[in-house]
Amino acid sequence: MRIRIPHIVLLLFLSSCQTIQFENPSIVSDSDWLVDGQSQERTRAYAFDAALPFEEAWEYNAAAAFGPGSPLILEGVILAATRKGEVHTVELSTGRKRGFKSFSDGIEGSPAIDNGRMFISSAVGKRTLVAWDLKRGRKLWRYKGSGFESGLVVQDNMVIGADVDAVVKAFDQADGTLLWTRSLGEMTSVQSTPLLVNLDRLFVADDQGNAFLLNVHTGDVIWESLLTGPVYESATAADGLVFVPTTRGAIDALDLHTGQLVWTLTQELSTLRFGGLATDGKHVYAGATDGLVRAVDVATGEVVWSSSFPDVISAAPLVTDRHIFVGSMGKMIYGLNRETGALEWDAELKGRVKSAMAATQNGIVVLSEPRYITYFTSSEGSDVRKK
Amino acid sequence: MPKAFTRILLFLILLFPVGLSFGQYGYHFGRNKIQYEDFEWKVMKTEHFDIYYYPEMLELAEHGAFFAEEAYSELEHRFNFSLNHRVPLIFYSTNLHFKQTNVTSGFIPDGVGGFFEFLKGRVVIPANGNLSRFRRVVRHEMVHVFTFNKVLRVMRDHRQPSDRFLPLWFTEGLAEYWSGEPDHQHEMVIRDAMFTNYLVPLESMYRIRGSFVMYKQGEAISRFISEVYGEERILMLIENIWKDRDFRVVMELTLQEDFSVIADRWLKWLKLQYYPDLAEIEVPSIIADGLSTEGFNAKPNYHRFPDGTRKVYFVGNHRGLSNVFEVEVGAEMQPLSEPKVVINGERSDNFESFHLFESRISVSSQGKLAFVTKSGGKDVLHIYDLNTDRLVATYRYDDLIAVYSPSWSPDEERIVFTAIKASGFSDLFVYHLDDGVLQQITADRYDDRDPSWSPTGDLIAFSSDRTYTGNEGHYNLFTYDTDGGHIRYVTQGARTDLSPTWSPDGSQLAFISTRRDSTGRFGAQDVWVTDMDQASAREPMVAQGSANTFDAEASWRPARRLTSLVSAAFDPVWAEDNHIIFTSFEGLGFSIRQLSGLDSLMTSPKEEMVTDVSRVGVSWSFDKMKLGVDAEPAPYRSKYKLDLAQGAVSQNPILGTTGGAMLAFSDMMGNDYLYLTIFNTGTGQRNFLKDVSLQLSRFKLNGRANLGYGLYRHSGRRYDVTDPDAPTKFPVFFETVYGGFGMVSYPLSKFTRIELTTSLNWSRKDISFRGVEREALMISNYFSLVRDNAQYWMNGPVAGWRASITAGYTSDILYSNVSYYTLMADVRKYFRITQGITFASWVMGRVNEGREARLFVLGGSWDLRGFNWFDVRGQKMWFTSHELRFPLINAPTVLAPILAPLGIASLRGTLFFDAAHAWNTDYYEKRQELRSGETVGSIGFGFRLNLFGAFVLRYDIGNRYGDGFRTKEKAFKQFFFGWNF
Repeated sequence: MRIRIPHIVLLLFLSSCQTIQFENPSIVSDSDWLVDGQSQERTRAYAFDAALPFEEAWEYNAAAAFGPGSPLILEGVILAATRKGEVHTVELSTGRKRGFKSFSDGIEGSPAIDNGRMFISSAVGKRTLVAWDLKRGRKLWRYKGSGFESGLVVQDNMVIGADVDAVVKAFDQADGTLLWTRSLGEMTSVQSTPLLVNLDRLFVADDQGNAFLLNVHTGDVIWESLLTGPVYESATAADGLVFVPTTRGAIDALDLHTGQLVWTLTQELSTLRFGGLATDGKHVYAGATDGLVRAVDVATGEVVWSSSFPDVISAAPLVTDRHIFVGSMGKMIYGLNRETGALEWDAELKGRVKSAMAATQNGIVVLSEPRYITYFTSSEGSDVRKK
Repeated sequence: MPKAFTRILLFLILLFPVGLSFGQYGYHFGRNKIQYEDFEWKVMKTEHFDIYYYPEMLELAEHGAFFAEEAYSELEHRFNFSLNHRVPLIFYSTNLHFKQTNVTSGFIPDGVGGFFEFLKGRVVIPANGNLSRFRRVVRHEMVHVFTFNKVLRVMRDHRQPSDRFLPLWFTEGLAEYWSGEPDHQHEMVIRDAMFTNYLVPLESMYRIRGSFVMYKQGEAISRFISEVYGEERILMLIENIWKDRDFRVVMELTLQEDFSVIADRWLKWLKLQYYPDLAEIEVPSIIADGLSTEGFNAKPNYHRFPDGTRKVYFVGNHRGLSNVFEVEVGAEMQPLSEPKVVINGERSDNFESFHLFESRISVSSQGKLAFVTKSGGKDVLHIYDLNTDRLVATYRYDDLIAVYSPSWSPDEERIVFTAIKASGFSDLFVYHLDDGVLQQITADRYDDRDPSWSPTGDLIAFSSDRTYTGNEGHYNLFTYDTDGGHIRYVTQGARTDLSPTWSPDGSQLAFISTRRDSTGRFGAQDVWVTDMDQASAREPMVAQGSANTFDAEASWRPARRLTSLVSAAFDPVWAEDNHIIFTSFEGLGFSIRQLSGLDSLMTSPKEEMVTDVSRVGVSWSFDKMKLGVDAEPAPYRSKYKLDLAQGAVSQNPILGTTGGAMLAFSDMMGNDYLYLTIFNTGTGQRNFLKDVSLQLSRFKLNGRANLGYGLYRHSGRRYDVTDPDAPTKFPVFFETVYGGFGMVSYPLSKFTRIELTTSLNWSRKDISFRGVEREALMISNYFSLVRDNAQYWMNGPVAGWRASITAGYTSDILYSNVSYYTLMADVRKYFRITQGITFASWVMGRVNEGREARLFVLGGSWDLRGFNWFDVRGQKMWFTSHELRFPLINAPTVLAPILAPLGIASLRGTLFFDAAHAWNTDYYEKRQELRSGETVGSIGFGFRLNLFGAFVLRYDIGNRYGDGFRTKEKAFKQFFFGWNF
C-alpha cells in the first residue's frame, strides 16, 4: 500500500485533534476557570463589567450535551466535558476546535485542573476517575470504582470526589493513590458537587438530605447536619455560611463552624426544586422549577427580589459586577440587574440550558442542548471575532 | 373506518409494485370504525397547548385546558424539565365520540381513558361526564408526555440511540402515581392481588403487560420507591436510563440495591400494609353463593314471574362476546340452571356492544327488561319482553350520545337513566313512554349516575359527585323528588357511594361504598344499607349547581355495612326481602353472587354509622381557562406533517435490485393521509428514468364515506402469474403503466360496508420471451359488499362469520383486446363449539369471464395447503377449507404464566381439509402447468403458535391429493406465519 503525504498530513491532523494538550498548564491567571464555578466555594461570582447587550460571538458543536457544572477556561481555551464522555477544547477567541479526548461513558460533573493536571470523573464505566497530564497530553492514572455524578475538589495535591454510593474519596493527584475514604451512609448518594471551604474543610450534601463537613486531609467528620430536603444541585458558601438548595422547596443556610441551621427559605410547594446556587456574599441567587429567580439575603434568608420566567431554571446563575445571568429550560439566557432583578437582556438558544456558565472579562460561555457551546460577548469593545 | 380502510390502502400500496391486478384482492375483511359525526373542530392556544375541541363541548374544553396547564405546572417540578414544544390536546366530550377518532386506526374499547401518541406527540382524551376523572386522565397523559420527552432528551444528551424506553409497567404506573392519590379501583386490584395471591412479582411484570393489573401494580411500585428510597429516585430512574439497556440494572444503579432485594422489599412493603386486614376480610366465594361465576358477569337484576319462576338477569361475557344472560334461581336464590343467553350482543347492528361495567339493567314488575347498547354512533335504549322473549322497542334520542343504567318507574310508564349530551356532562333524564317526551331532570356539571326509582314512585335515588367533596372524586347518594324536583342528600362525607337500589318496600337503600382509612388508603367496596324511612321533605335540599350550606337542624341517617369483602362488590339489587344479589370481584374475576339472611346481617352489621346529612359543605366547581377570550378560536385546518420517511433496497432473483422510498404525511386529526412512493428497478444508469415508478395517493377518512384516489406510473419488470399475456412457465415481462385510481368505502354499520373501486391506466407490455408488445387502456370498476362480525382470539377468528361478494368489469377501451367481468363470493363461518374449540368453514368462488380474463391463483399456507404459491390457476375456481381448531397449551395467564418468559401466548392445534378446482373454459379440461381442470386438495393437521401476542407461526403436515382426491400426490410439511382464515 502506498502512503501518500496527504494521508500522513490528514493522520497527523486527526491525531493532534484527538488529544488535549497545553503549553504551560501549571501557570494560571485570575481569568482562568480551573474548577466548576471558578472557585471551590462555587460562588460563581466573577468580576467583570462588560456592558449589555451581548451578542453571540460564536457557537461550537460539542456533539453531546453537558452536565450541570460549568465549563473551564485555561490559557484562553474553553474546556467542556460532555455527557458522551468527551472533553472538548475550544479557542475562546475564535470558537475553533483545539482538540478533544474521549474519556468515559458519561461525564456529569465538571473536570478540575490543578498542577497542570486535569481530573475527569464519570458517572459509569470502567474509568470513573482519570488524571490527565495537560502538558504532555497523556493519561497519568485512572481509577475504577463507583461513578461520580458530581464534580471534583482539588487541594493540596489531592483530588477529592463523592461518588454515587456516597463515599468520599481522596486521591493523590500524582499517582492516584487512594489517601482516605469516608462513607456517608447506606442507600444514599451524592449528586451535588462538594465545596472546599476555608481551604481545609470539605462540605458534602447527599440525596437523603444529610450535610457533612469533613476534614479535607483526613476525611474525618467535623459535623453532620440534617437538611430540609434531598440535595441534587450545587451549593455555595460565603462568609462562614453554606447555602444548600433542596428538591423539597427550600434553601438551607448552615453555619460552617457548627452545622447549625441559620435560616431556611421555604416555599409552600414541596415539589419545587431549587437549582444550583451562586452568591456575591450579600445575596444568594437561585433559580427554581417555578421559573423564579430569587435573590436571598445571606444574613436573614429573606427574598430581596425575584424575577419570573416562563420555564424551569435548574442551572446555577452566574454573578458579575452588575448582572446575574441565568439560563432556562425554555432555551433562553437572561441577563438581570443584580440589584433589582430587572431583565436587561435576553437571547434565545438552540436548546435548554442545564449547565452553569463561565465568564471572561468580555462575555459569558453558555452550554446548551443539544450540544452547543455559545460565547456571548459585549457588543461594545469585543476583541472576539463575531460570527 | 380507518381500521378496515387503512388495511386496504396499505395492501394496495404494497401490492402496487407487484402488479395492478386488484381484481381478486379487491376486498378485505375487518369491522368498520365509523366517523358518525362531522365534528366542527376548533383550535385554541393556551400557554403550552393547542387545544382541539368542537363547539358543543366548549365548557369541557375550558376545564380540560385548565387541567392541562395545571398538570404542566406541577410536572415541571416533578420532572425538573420544561417542554420546548406545544402539545396538541384533542378533546372529545364522550367515549362514543372518542371511539371515532382517527388519531389511532385501531378500535378503542370501553374503559380506555385516553392515550398519548408518540408520532405527532398528540394527546387524545374523552371526558365522559366526570370532571374529576377527566382531570385525572389529563394529568395521567401529561405524565406520559413529560416522561417521553425527558427520556428522549436523556438519551440524546448522552448520544445514545433512542431505541430504548422505560418498561410499560413503569411508565403507566408512574402516570397513575403522579396523576393523583390512589383511587378505589387501585385498592380494589391490589387488595385482590394480595388476598387472592396473584400479585405478580417485580421480576415478572412483563407477564401482565398492558393489563389493568399492570397499571395498578406499577402505581404501587412507584409509591413504594417514593416512600422507601425517596421521591427523587423516581426521576433518577428516568435520568439513568442511558446507563444500561436492562431496566433492572438501571434500578439497581439508582436504588443502590440488588434487584432481587428491591423486589423482595416491595413485597414486604405491600404485606405490611395489607396483611393486618386479613383477620377481618370475607371472601365472596365463601360467604355468598355464586349464580354465575364463569367469565365476566355484572349488573344483575332480579325478576319473579307470575308463575312463580324466579330469574336473575345480568350482562356477561363468557366466551369473548357480551350478552344478556339469565339464570333461574330457587326460593333461596340458589341457581337451578346454568346461565343461558337471552340477548346476543356484539354481533348485530342493533346490539353493537353493551357497556359491560358501566350500565345497569332494569326489569319491570311486568317483566320488561330495559337495557342499553351502542348502536351506530350513539347509545340506544331497548325494551325486551321477558315473557314473550321479544324485543318490544328501541329508542334513539337525537341529543343524547351516551345512555347508562335505565330504571323503571313503578307504574312502568317512565324510565329514568343517565345520559351524556355532546356537551359532555352527565345528567339524569326521564323518558315518558306514553307520549315520547324526554325530560331532563338534572342539568349541571356534576356526574349523576345509577338512578333507581323508588317503589313508591315519588323518589329517584342516584349517586353523584355533586357532594361537597366531589372535586376529590367522592360520590354520595341523593334523592330526586319527582313532585317538587328537589335533590336531597342521602349519604354525606368523603366516601364513594355508588349504585343505590331500593328494597321492595321502599324503606331501605342498598348501595356500594368505600372510603379511605386512617392511612389514606381506600378500603374494600362493601355492601351497605341505609334506612330511607326518614326520606322526607324536612331534610335539606341541594340547590342544583350552586352553593348549598345548611343551617337546618341535624338530620341523622343510619347506615349499616353488611360485608367485609376482600376487594369489591358492585351493583347490589334486592331479591325479595331477604336477599341481595350483587357482583363480586375476586381473583381477577367478576361473578354474580347472592347474600342471604339480610335480617341477621342488619341486626349484626359489620359496621354501623350515623351521619348528619345536614352538615355538608359548599358545592364545588373546577376552574376553567377561558378559551377565546383573547382571541377567537380558529377553525381547524388540515395541514400535512411528515409521519414516515422510509427507504428500502431489495434483491430479487427474478426482478433484480429494487430501491425506493416511501413518504407518508397526515394531518393532526388523522383524517387526511398522503403517500408518496417512489422506487426504481433500473439495471443501469441509462435506464434510471425509464425504470422509475412512483405513486401519489391521498386518503380522506374524516367522513362516514372514506375516499381514496391517486396517480401512478409503474415501469419495470414484473412477475405476474395472473396475466394472460405472460408466459405460463416464467411469467416475467417489462411493463410501463400510467394511471389513476379512486376508491370509496362506505360503512353501513360497524359490521357491513360497501366498497367501490375504479382505475384507469394505459399500459405497454414488452414480453420478450414471446416477442410480443401490447398496449392497452384499461378501465376497471369493482363493487363489493363486505360483512364481518367475527370474533378474534390469539391466532385468528374463533366465532361469528364474515363474507364478501364482489362484482366488477374490466375493459380495454382503446383497443378492445380485453373485456371481462368478475364475480367473487367468499363466506367464512366460525362455530365455537366450546370455549377453546372452534370449527371454521370457508367457501369461496371466483369467476373472470370474457376476453383475455386474468387468472385467479391459489396455493400456499394461507389457502390451499400442500401446494406452492400460485400453483393452481384459472379464470374460474372454487375453493373450500374446513378446520377444527383446538387448544394444546393455553398460556400465559396472570395465574399460570408457564410459557410467558418464552413469549409464547398460545399453542393450538388444527385438523384441516382443503379442496379447490380451477378451470378456464371446460371444467374438466386439464392443464398440468396450471393445475386446472381437476379437483385438488389436502388433508392434515397443524400447529399454531402465537409469539409475543403478535406473530402466529404456522406449521402444517399433511397429504396432498389430485384428480378429485383419487390420487395421493405426496406428503408435505409447510412452515409459514400468519393468522388463521
